[in-house]
Amino acid sequence: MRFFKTATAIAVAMSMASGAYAQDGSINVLGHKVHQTAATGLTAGTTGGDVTAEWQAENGSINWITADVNPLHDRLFRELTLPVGNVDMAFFLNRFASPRAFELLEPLDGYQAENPIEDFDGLSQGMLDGMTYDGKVYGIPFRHSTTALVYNETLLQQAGFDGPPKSFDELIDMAKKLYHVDANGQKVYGLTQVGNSPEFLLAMMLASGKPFLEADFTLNADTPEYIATLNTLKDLSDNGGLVDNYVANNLDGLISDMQNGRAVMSLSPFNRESVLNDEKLSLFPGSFKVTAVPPMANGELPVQTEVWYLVIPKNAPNKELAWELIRTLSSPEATVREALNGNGATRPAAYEDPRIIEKIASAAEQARSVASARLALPGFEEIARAQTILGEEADAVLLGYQTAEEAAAKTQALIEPLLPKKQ
Amino acid sequence: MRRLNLFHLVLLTPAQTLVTLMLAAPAFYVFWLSLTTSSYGLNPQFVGLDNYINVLSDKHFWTASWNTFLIVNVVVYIELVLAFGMAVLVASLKKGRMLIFALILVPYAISEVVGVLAWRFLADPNIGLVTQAFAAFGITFNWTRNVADALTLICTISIWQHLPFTFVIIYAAVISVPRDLYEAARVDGANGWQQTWNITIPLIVPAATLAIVFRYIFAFRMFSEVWLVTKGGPVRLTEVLGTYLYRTGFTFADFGGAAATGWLMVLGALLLSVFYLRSMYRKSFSDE
Repeated sequence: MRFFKTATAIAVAMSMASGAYAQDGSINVLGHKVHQTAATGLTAGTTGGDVTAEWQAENGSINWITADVNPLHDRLFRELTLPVGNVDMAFFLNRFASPRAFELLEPLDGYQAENPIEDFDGLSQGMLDGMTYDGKVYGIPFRHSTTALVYNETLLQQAGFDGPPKSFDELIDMAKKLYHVDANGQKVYGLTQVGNSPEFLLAMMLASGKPFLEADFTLNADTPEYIATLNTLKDLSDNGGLVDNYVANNLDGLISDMQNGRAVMSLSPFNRESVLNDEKLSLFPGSFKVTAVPPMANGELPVQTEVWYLVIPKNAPNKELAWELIRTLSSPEATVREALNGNGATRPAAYEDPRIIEKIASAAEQARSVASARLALPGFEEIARAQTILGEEADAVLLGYQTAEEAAAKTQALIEPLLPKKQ
Repeated sequence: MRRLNLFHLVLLTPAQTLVTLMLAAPAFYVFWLSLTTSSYGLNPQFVGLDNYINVLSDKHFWTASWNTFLIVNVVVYIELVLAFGMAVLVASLKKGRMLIFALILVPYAISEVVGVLAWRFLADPNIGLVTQAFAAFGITFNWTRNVADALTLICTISIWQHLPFTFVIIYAAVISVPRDLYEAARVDGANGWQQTWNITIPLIVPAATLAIVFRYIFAFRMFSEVWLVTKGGPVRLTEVLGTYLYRTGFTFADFGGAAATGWLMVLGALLLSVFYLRSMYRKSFSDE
């Protein structure tokens, strides 16, 4: 009996606590850990500070729920389908945008008209377009993840190179030449990339002169460019230009490869430089430099980007508070401070801020890359299935199960039916 | 046998209600879901058996089914042999039996995710201790590129993780064999092997059957060993039914297809274990 009394008391106390939690202005925010660190300045050595501090002092605490990209969106979509959700504001990646997703999100135009974001026009228009559907804005751009070339200057010099490659073709050649076994018997590869998502493959395809999937959903899989891309990938893999566990490599593996000197270069987002140079974790602190992806033969930069947006679920319990937080996080001053915390700024003007020029060595390169970047993939309903097919067929080439021509034809045949019908 | 009266039924009601709410109702809901197209933000629409047809005509489903069948049989029988050997060995120890017993149980006490990730690091193709040990003998082990290596690693992790379960059941059976049977056998001149073959093994068969059935069912639902190590790769050639279902449901957001896979898994598990279940049923009711 005593047990039941105690249990009942705990249950009542917990329900009261949760009621109070809902009323004191606290909100639940679903995002990736990088969003939390960018907003709150958690990473050691960053100078932007806690951008949310003032908001929290006025409104209440932020309950951060963080997860990796796919689990985050799994959770978000599950929350979105509940009659009343638990998430007030979420971070949403452009590749998950689709008409069905827009139906589950709150249009933000009304909030903007009533209580506008400071200097709304200063936000990247191209990024805003990515979350505009049927004339309505569903997300405010918070962070771009634009591809750059990150390289270990020490290892590059030891291999006899005086600087990073000047063209994309040179990058491929250099990656293969960099392969060697070091004095400790460790294999050192030219490039390390994440293989369980298709960013590298898409970047290579873009560098061949054609995007894999165009904004109007024209699929360029069964093309000479994609066949050449697959052959280059296999060539890299067979000749030490790419880590030998590429097909299973994840982000942790990529960072570990770079920090431990198992790879010299990587096509990675600009802001990865800081974690690679971390004194506590890296064998080469200070050696990692970042520059724009080397240009193609025609001089264009084959840069792709992904954009994270701030969104409010249609079933969010605290929409007004969520909008207040969005306003706070996307003001011009907040954008600069978040960039100082390692975020990719979504306001072009932020790269001209003296604080950013002083603290971020690659600011000019970043601004140049963002200006010419294009989205890795446009969003559509069956994108997850399409990405799986893309990776699977490419991996089969890499491992010698099929030729590039066979893979290109199969990729085209399997992905084409998944795409939205052209208007 | 006494007939059930109203009082008995009243007493049975809470348990039956619980089973209905927790098992039967979700199972029927999943069956209904398997007859619909359903995804995030999409109201389920009845499509008949389309999901079953789609799943059964997907080559990845058959790869996953074959891998599941292969892995389940490999891990269940290797575990059984190892558990029996270890149980006989531990039972014969005069000292330190409890310490050895505790050491054998350690993998079961470790969080599944932590254990699997530790194995992933140990078998890292570049820096893993296991990989380097193999390399010292001239053996190349790279589960990221070689399907056989990947399946071997998955089986090894599963055996390591679940051996304590089989061991506990077999050990309990081994120590419960009456000692006087062995004494009588020794008097008759039986050697150690003959005692094991003619006394221990026949007497532990019911317990072994139980262990096999449970492990078949658990292993059939295998997920973390595959998802956390290979994610079904390379080229989805190490996919098992658990990861196929998860990918269909939560990566592709195809709940109808995932529900159909779930029901096909139930049928598959029943098919695999029906021989043992029948054998257990016969033994259980052999007195009637």
